[in-house]
Amino acid sequence: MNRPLLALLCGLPTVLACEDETVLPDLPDWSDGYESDCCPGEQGTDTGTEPPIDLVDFALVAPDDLDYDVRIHQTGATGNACALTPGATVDEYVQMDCTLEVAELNLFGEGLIFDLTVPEGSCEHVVWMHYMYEAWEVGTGPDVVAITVDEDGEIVSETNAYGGEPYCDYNYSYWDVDAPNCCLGSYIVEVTDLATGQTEVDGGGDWGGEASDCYAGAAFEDPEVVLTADGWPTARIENLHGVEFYKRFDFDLLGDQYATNVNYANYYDPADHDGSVPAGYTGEWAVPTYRFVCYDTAEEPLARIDLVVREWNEESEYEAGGDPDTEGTESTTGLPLNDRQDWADATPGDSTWIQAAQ
Amino acid sequence: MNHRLAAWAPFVALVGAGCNPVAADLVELSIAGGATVDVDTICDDPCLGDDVTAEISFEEHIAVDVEATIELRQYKVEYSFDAVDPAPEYFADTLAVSVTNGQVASFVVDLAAASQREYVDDVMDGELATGTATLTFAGYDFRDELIELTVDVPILFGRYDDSDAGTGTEVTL
Repeated sequence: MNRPLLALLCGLPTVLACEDETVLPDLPDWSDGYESDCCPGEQGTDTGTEPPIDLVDFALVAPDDLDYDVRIHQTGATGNACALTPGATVDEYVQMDCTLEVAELNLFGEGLIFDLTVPEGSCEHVVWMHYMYEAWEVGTGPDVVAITVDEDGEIVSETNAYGGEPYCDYNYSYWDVDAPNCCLGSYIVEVTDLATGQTEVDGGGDWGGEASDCYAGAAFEDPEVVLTADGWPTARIENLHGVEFYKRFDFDLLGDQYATNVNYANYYDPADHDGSVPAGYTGEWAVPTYRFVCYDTAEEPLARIDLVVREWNEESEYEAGGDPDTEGTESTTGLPLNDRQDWADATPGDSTWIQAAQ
Repeated sequence: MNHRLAAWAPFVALVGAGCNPVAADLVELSIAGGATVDVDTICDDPCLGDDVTAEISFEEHIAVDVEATIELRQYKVEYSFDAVDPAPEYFADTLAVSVTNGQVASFVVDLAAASQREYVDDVMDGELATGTATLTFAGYDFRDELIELTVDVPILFGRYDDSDAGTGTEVTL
C-alpha cells in the first residue's frame, strides 16, 4: 500500500473516534461578510458554493464553463459518462476507470480542471488522492563504504566512495546541486590500513535521502496539498455523512515550472514501455491514477473512480477523436506535432527515469 | 528574593512556557509568500485576488501530541486604505483546513468579493488603491479551544488588464 494513503487510513480511526460529546465553543459570527458573488462584471456565473451541475451520480465531470474543451468519459467507452451509483453496501461496490481528454497546450497553459459530484445519500466519506510518480529513482545505499590507505595514509582504493567521501548512486545532488538525494539507509566506513593490515570501522552515517523529494506529479501541484512532516502529499477526506457534495479541482498551469505535461498527464500506452509501465510508476510510493473513493462509515468502499489524464498532440485529432499521439512535423512550420512530452516520449521503455526532464 | 522560590523559578518557567504551549505560538501563517496581492476591481471569474495561496505551519513541539491538529473553519478580511475612507465592509468565508503537529498545509483564500471590488473601484474611479488586508482566521486548537490567528497582507486594488488576469506568469514555449 502506498505510504500517503496508508497514513490517511491509519489516521481514520482517530478521525472517526472523534464523535464524542466534546462541545466546541461557538465560532465568531462573521456571516455578515459572506458573499458568493466573487466578481464585478461577471455574467451570471455562480462561483459560490452552489454546484453548477446536478449531483445525481458519483462522477467526474468536465466543466462546461471553461473557455476550452475537455472531455471525460469511461475509459474505452467515449460515449459513457464517468459516473457511478455507489453501492448501498460494500457487497455492491462499483469501480470505473475514466479518462480525461485535453489538448496538450490547453493542459500545459491552462492547467487541469474537473469537477467531482457526490449525490445525496450515497457516501459517508469521500477520500481522494492525486497522481504522483517517482521522478528520480529512489534506492537504498550500500551498507559499507570501504577505503584502503597505504602507509602514508593515502587512499589506494575505495568502494562506494569518491576521494574518501561516501558515494551513493541514488544521491543525484553529487552532480547537480538542484537534484535531490534519493539515497536511503545508512552505512559504516571501513578503513583498511595496508601498513598494519588491519581493517577498522571508522564512523558511518545516514545516506540522507528523502524519498518524497524524488517524487512529482499532480499530488504535489494540488493548490490544497497537505504535506506530511517528511514531505508526502496526504490523501484528503471529506466527511459527508450522506450529504451531497460538489468540488472543483483546479490545478494551475504547468508552463511556468515544467517543460512537459507529465506532471498531470498520467496516461501511458504499455506498447511505449516494453509492454510494461513507465519506470516512474514502479516506485514504491507511486500513485498512477487520480483516485476518488466513496466509503461507508467503516471505510468499506462503495464506489471508486480511477482517472487518467490524456493529452492530445493535434487539435484536429482531438476533435475527431482520432490518435492522441500523432508524431511528425507540421506541414507549414516544420515544428513537431508533439510539442509537450507525455510518458510515451519522455521515458520510453520501462527503465528510464524522467528526472530533471519533466 | 526568597532563595527557595528562586530555585524553583526555572521549573515554573518551563511549565509555563514550554510544557503547556499555546497553539498560536506554534503556528505561522503566510499569504502569497508575503508579497503584495493584486486585487482586480473589474473582472470576470477568475479575478485577481481570488484563490490566493496561503500556508499554515504547525511547529512541532515535544509537549504536543504528534496527532494534535489545528483546524481553521472560517476567515474574514478587513481592509485599510490610505485613499479609501471609510474602508469597504469586511469579507468572510468558511474554510476547512487542518494541520497536524509538525506539518505544513497550503490552501487558498479569496481576498475580496464583488462588493469590496466595486466599492473600491467607485471610490477610486478606477485608480490604484494601496492598502492592507487583515485576515483573521478562526478555528479550533488541539485542545478544542477557539483560536484566532491574524495576518496582514499588502494589497493593491485596481483595474487590471484581462490578458494579465489569473497568473502573470511566464510560459516556456
